[in-house]
Amino acid sequence: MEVVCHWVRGCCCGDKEKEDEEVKQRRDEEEEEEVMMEEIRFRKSTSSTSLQPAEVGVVQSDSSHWFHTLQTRRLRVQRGRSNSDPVGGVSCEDAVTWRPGLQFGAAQSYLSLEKLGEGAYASVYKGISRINGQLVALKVIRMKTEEGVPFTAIREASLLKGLKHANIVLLHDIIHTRDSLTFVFEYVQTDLAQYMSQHPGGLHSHNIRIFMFQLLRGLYYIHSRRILHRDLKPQNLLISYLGELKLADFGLARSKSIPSHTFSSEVVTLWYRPPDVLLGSTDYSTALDMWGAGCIFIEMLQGAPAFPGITDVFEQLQRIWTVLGVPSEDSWPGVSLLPNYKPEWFHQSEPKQLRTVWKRLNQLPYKTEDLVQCMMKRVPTDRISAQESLQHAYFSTLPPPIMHLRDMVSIFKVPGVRLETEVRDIFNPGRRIKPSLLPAAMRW
Amino acid sequence: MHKRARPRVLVCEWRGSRSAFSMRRPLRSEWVRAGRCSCWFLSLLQPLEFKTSPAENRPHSSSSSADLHCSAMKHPHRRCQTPPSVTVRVKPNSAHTLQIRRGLRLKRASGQDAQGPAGKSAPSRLQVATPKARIPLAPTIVIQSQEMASYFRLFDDDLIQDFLWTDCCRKLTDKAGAYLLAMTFVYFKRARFTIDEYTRKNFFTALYLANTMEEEEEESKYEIFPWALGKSWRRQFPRFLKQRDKLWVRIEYRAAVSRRCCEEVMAIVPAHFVWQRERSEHHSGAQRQYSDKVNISIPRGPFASPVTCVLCHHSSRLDQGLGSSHPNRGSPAPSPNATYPDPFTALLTLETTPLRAAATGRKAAETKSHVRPPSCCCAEGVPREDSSCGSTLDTSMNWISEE
Repeated sequence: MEVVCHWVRGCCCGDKEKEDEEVKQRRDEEEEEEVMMEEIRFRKSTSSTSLQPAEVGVVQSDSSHWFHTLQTRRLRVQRGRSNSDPVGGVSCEDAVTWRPGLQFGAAQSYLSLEKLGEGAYASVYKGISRINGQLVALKVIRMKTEEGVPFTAIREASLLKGLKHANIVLLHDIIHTRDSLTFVFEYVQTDLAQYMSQHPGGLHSHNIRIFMFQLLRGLYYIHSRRILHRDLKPQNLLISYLGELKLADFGLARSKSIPSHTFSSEVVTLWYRPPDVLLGSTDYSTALDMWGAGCIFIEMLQGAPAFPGITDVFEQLQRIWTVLGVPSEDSWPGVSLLPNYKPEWFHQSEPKQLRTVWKRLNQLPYKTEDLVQCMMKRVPTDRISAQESLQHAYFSTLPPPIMHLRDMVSIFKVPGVRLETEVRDIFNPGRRIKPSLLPAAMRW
Repeated sequence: MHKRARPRVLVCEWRGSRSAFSMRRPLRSEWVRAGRCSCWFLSLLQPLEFKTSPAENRPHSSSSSADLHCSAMKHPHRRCQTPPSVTVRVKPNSAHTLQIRRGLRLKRASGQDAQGPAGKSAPSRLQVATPKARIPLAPTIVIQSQEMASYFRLFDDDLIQDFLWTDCCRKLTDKAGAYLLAMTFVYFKRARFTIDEYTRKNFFTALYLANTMEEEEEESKYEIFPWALGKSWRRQFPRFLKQRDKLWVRIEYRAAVSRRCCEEVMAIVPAHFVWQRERSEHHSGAQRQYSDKVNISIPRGPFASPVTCVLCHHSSRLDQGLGSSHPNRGSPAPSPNATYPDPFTALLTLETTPLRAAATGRKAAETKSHVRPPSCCCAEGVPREDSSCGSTLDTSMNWISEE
């Protein structure tokens, strides 16, 4: 799946900043507004977007009742992580009486609103839970009668069932009927790829730090459980409008706790694949994801992928060697034994200073480059671990309590942690930067 | 008919006698033996783990289980050394346990719900006794000796034995095979199978699911089809996959099993031959070197001899000691609802018969019947009928001769 949630421009993307401000001012009205918005959208799309074709009738006949359910729930509550739950997570469980017939695991408990994206083995819809009014992302797995549930889906759900963390997308529910399988995820507005395309030319350095911290925090969590994501890329990092980052798409993920199993070297999108795996090693571990995280780090800084635009493993390796230098048996014992190793590389380039390759590093304190350097090591065993990287000096400017949060607590709960306004915004080109933000913006 | 004691009840019961914290923590590791109640408390349900290195994991199972193990260890042969089955006494109806059960159920429901910031959803969980007990979210499971015994008895089944034997390179079930087979058992537990559901069919289904989770080589797990489904497997495998999916649903979509969990299962009877299977070095890692032999049809199934494997050429089967037996007693019929004739009688036998005598007898039978090519590289086309099952009376093998 390419994306769990695409951005719905009309409703939250363009007005993001405005919405952020407004959230504080008028929480109460917003409850109503969001409900109304969904109602309108629902009217437009009843005919086509319900979960199952067979279910349309049920939904339509029931719709007035459904409106009623939503309208009566205009709760005057503080909104917590409001990105994924329009009625606020707090009082939901108290306020919502469970309606008979609407329960988890049932298709009629969710309405799909619009299609958000299409992946290799699934389509993703924005949806709403009729149980508690939460927005959800419905990932509908295509099932071929012959093959049953795809193994990617089995792995994804099985792994996500055990992962509860503020930086991992939350799997709410699974709907399994005879001929379809739907995963119900929390709804997150956008992903890092979209975010970067909205704010081209590199992100605000403060925001990069916040995103990186969350990415590494999520990785630390899964790595400590011996799970590899194996498909890190900006599209798979969901971003809520608060700036919460969540790892998504565990279709390629797998547990590496059980010894000596077969591992595929055809993992990770080429651009984010580490050199050892490109060389054909299947003996990879958590360092695999750290390379991807490093690539994403650079991409956020530069506004462009670190090693882009190539379709072939060897070209991809070549591009990495241009920056990091060609490995030798001295610098990387055993490298020449890897299947894709080519001796003719031997005479080629020397490692370069990262700041000469990625210019943005020049404008930032040295510790940024240092962390990048630690993550972009050719030899996997030299690469920094997620746990170590969280302790890196690069993150020392974040408020200390951020290091001691419980798993399910978002870093935005820590006072003083918030996103800065990005300098460039393609949806608001003429926007004036607030004076208070200028110094921060000028820093780079 | 026998009803299994609900594991959670047991856990709560036991916890009641100690501090709240001890309800879960000890379950991470050892068996707890109190009075006449000998059951194995394991943290099977926790899908994932913190501790990873084997060195850290081993000690968990060693100390307290030692005395239970030692009786089994005295028998040098590898017959199924299952400790005797013991009745577990429970008082499932006490208010305390009920409350906790409700709490657990609630927790699961709200776990699927938005969990939100952890503190916030707390009100709904007030019933779950103390905050301390909530910290490790690992529900626990109790393995009863008869469940383990029933699982081991599956390996007395001729077909399963031949399956494991034919998997000569141990690609499917190897040292990690020990892990895969332990995972299979964990699925049995998570699915809450009753003893009569410990069948060959469920075994293959669960093993296939374990392979789905752990292996990235598609072909190797297809080898299960002909074994599980017989000659008409091509027609039947979609149904088999449906069964796998059903099992996946039944275990509440939790097919991820941690290494620690597997090791805890293996620690119950560590010397059992099932856990002794080693994957040869050359088959670890994804080499995919065998997939270029296009002309060899995969899966082979029980009808053809295993594919010759150059790499395994020197590894003799006998010295790797699949110390299995060929009891030739009624193995489960191939039907989906196959059951052992009477698990309890069987268990009793297991308990009372001097294991040594029984096993040596079987061993003799085995060595006789297993005059097969010793290594995995048997020549092509050795007819299946030659093989050892001695199944004149064994209806479960009927499908082999049918078209």
